[in-house]
Amino acid sequence: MVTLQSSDKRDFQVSMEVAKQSVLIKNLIDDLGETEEAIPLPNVTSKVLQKVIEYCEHHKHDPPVIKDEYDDLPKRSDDISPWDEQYMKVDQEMLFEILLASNYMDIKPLLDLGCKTVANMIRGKSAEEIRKMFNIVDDFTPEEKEQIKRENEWAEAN
Amino acid sequence: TPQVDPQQQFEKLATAIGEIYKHNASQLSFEELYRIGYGLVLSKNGALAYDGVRSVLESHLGDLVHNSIVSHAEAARATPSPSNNEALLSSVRILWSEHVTAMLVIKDILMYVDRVYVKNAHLPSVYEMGMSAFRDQVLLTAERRLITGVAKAVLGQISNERCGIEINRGVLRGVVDMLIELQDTEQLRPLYETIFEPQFLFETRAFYHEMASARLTDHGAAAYTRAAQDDIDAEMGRVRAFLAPSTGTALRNVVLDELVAKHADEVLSIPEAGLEQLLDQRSVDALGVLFGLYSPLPAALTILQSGVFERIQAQGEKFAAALAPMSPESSQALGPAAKTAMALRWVQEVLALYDVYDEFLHKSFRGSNDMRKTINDSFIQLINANNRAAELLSLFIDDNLKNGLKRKSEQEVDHLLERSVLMFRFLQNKDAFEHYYKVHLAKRLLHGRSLSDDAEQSMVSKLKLECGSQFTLKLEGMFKDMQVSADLARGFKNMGALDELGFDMNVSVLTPTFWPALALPMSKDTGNSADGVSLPSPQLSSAVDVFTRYYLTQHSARRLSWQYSMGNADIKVQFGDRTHELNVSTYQMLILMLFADDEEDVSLTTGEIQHRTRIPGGVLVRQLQSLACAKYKILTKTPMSRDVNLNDKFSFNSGFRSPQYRIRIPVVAAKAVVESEKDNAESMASIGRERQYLVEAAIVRIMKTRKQLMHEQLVNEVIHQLSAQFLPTSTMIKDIIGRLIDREYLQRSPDNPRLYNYLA
Repeated sequence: MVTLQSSDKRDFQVSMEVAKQSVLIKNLIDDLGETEEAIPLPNVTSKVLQKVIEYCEHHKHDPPVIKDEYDDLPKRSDDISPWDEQYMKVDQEMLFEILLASNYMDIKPLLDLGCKTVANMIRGKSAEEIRKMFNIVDDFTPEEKEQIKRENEWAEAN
Repeated sequence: TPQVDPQQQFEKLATAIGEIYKHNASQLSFEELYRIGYGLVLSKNGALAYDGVRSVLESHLGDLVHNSIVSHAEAARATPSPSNNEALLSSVRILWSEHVTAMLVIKDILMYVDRVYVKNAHLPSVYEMGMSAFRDQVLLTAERRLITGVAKAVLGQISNERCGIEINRGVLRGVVDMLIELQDTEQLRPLYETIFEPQFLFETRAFYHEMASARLTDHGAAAYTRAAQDDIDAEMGRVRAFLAPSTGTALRNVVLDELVAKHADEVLSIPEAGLEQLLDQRSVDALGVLFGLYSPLPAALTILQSGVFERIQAQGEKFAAALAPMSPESSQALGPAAKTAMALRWVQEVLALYDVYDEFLHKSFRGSNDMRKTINDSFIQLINANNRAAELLSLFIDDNLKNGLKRKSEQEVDHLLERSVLMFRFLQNKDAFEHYYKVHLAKRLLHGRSLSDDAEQSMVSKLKLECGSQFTLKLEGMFKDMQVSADLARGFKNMGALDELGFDMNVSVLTPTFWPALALPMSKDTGNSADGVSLPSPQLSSAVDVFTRYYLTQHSARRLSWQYSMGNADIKVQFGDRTHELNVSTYQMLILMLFADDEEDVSLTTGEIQHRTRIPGGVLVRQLQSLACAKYKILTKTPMSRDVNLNDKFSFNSGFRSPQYRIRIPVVAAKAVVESEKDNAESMASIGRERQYLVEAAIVRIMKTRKQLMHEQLVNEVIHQLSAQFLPTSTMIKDIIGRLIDREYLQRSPDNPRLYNYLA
C-alpha cells in the first residue's frame, strides 16, 4: 500500500498496483525504496487526485502497452470505451485538471483519453466556436488571419 | 501561480546531484526534484535544465577523477606492475559504477525533461548525456587521455595472466563492461571496439607468435598441440570471464593462426615426435587434440590428411616387402604351405592396420568424413597395389571359415568376416575375387571343411549386399546343390540299396554352371567317369550304377558325369595285426585297392598303376607322393626319392605303425593354398577372357540403347557399368570396340571418326 497526499493535505491510500500506473510514482518507489511516508503531490488537488485514482482503480488490470509500438500507431479518437466515456463526462475545468495531472504523473492512457476527449470536442467546429468553447482570446491581426486562411485553403475545400 | 526564478529552481537540482554523488540521496525529495524539472520544462526552461545538469556532471566527474584516479594513472604509467595496474583499473571501475548508479536516479528525476524537452529538441537522452559526460571527462580529456592508460593496464593484466601471474578478473570485467557501454564520439561504436579490441588482438598475435617459435625448439607434436589447445581454452575462458562475447571468434582465429596454421606442416614433421610417431604409437588422445586444432583450418587439415595417407602407404609397403619371397624373382624356394601362411599374414596385417585407423577415425578424428575418405582412399591404393590381393583375400576368408572358430571366438570371427567384406569393397578386381572365392568355396563344401554353415551364409549375404544378387548367384547355386545332394543322400540311404555292399557312399550332385572348372569336361555317356578313371572294384562300380539309376528316377532328363578327383573316402586298412582307419582321397583309395589282394608283396610300377586306374599323369604323381613320400608312408617306394618316374616301384607297407587309429592322408591339391605362378597365370588368363566378354557385352548393351555415342562417352559408360567388378583400361575398351566394328556390331560415323553408330 502507498499513501498519496494531495495539495490540500488529504491522504489517499492505494494499492501498489494502482499507484504504479503512474510512472512518476513507480520510479520514485523503485529508486528510493518503498516508504511508509506519504508521497506529496503539491500539484494535484484532492478532487482531481480522487478522480485520477478512480481511473487507475478501474484500469488496474489492463495489460501493459508496449511503448514503441504505441507511438507508431495512427492516432484515433473514436475508440473510447463506454466506461471511459462516462468517466469523462465532467466540466471543462475538471477535464483540464485531469489532463495536467495525468501529464505530470505520467499516466499515459489517461493522458491519451483526455486528449481524445478534447479532440472530439474540437472536431468540426469553426475557429470562432472553439474560441467560445474554451474562452480563448482572439489575438490574431487581420493580416495574420488572411495568411492562415490562405495556408489552410486545402482543408477548407473539404 | 507565483513566479519562481528558474535559475533558483535549477540550483536546487544542481545541489541534489552533488548529494547523489556523495551518496546522500536519501535526504532528497524525489517528487520535489521531479517537479522542478517539470516546472522548468513547462516554463520553457528545458535547455537550462538539460545543459545545466550536464555542466554539473562534468564538473563533478572532473573533481572525482582528479581526486581518486590520476595518481593511480601516474603510478601505473611509471611502473606497470600488476598491483599498480590493478589499483588504476579498480579506481576507474569504482567511479564508473557509482556514476551509473547516480545516472539511473538522475534520469528518473528528470524523466519529464526526457519525455518532452529532449524528445522535441532531438537531443540524446539524459542518461546518454551522462554517459558521454563520463567518457569525455574521465577518459578522453585532452590533457590526460586516461583511456590510453586504462587500455594499457587492461592489456598489461591480460599479459600478466598469460605468464601465469594471478590477477583480479572482477576488476577487468567491470572496466571492460564500461568500455562496451561507452561509445566513441565519431564512429558511434563502443570504445571497446574502436580502442581496445584491435590492440588486444594485435598483442595477442605477437604473444603467440613468439610462443610458437619458442615451443617448436623443444616440443614434440603431442606436447605442442596439447599446449596449443590449453592456450585456446584459457583464452576462451578469458572471453567468458571479462571480455565481450563478440571477441571470441576473432581471438580463437588469431591463436589458431599463430600456433597452428603457420606451423601445420612443421609440427607434423617434428623428428621422432611427429605425426608418424603418434600414429605408430596409437596415441589416440594426442591425435584427438591435434585433429581438434587442425580441422577448422582447411589448409592444415589437408596437410594432416596427406600425412595420414602417406603413413598408411608406408605401412602397406612394409607389408608388401614381407611378401617379397613369394614373388617369382625371389631366390627363396618356399613351399605352398609357407606361401599360404605368408599370404594370410598379409591380409591379417592389412585388416589389423585398418582396425587401428578405424579406431583413430572414431576416437581421434570424431568420425570426420574427410578423414574417413582419406583413410579409405589410402587403403584402396594399398590393397590394389598388391596384384594378388583378390586371391589372398579369398584365402583369408577360406581359412577363417575352415579353421577360424577353432582358435577364435565367434565374435572375433564375425569381426574378421565383416572386415573382409570391407576389404572386398576396396578391391578393384572384384571379378578375380569371385573366381577364387568359388574355387575355395567348392573345396570347402565338397570336403565338408566349413565349420559353420551360418558363417558361410552370412558371408554370402554380405557379398550380396555389396555387389547385388548377380554376383552371388553362382555361390548360392553351390549351396543349393549341396542341400539337394543331402536330401538325395537321405532318400538313397532309406532305400537301403547299398546295405548288401557293406559300405556307405555319399554323393554330391553338382550343377556345372555354378561350380568352378575344377572338374573335367562332361563325358558323353551317363554313368561313366568324366576323366576316364576306371574303378578297380566291382563293388564300387555297382554302387555307382545303383546311385545313377536312383538319380535318374528322380530326374530322368538329366545326365550324370562322375568326378572322382574331388571325392574322399574312409577305409579300414590292416597292417599286420593292426587296423587303421585312413581318410584318403578317392584316387588314393583306388590306388590302395590295387594292393588289397591277399597276396603279399604285390609290387606295381607307376606305369602299371596308371594303366589300371587311368588316373591322369600329373595328378597321379601327387597321389603317389602323398602315399609314399610324405609323413605317413602307407606304400613303400623304390627308389625312395621324392620324384616319381614311370618305372618306380610301389608296394604295400605292412610294417606301417602309428599311435593314432584314424589317420588323414592329405593330398596337397586338396588344400586351398596360394597358387603357384603357373596356376596364377592360368587363373589370370581365364579371368582376362571373362573380362573381354564382359566389356563386349557392355558395349553392345550400351550402344543398343543409345544408338549413337562419342568415343569418350562410350568409354566412360563402360567403366561405370563394370565398376562393381573391375576397372577396364581404355586401351582394352578401344581394342574391343575395334573388334566389334570388324564384326559389324558398330560402325564409325562417316562424318566424325570419334562417333559410333549401332548397327542393328
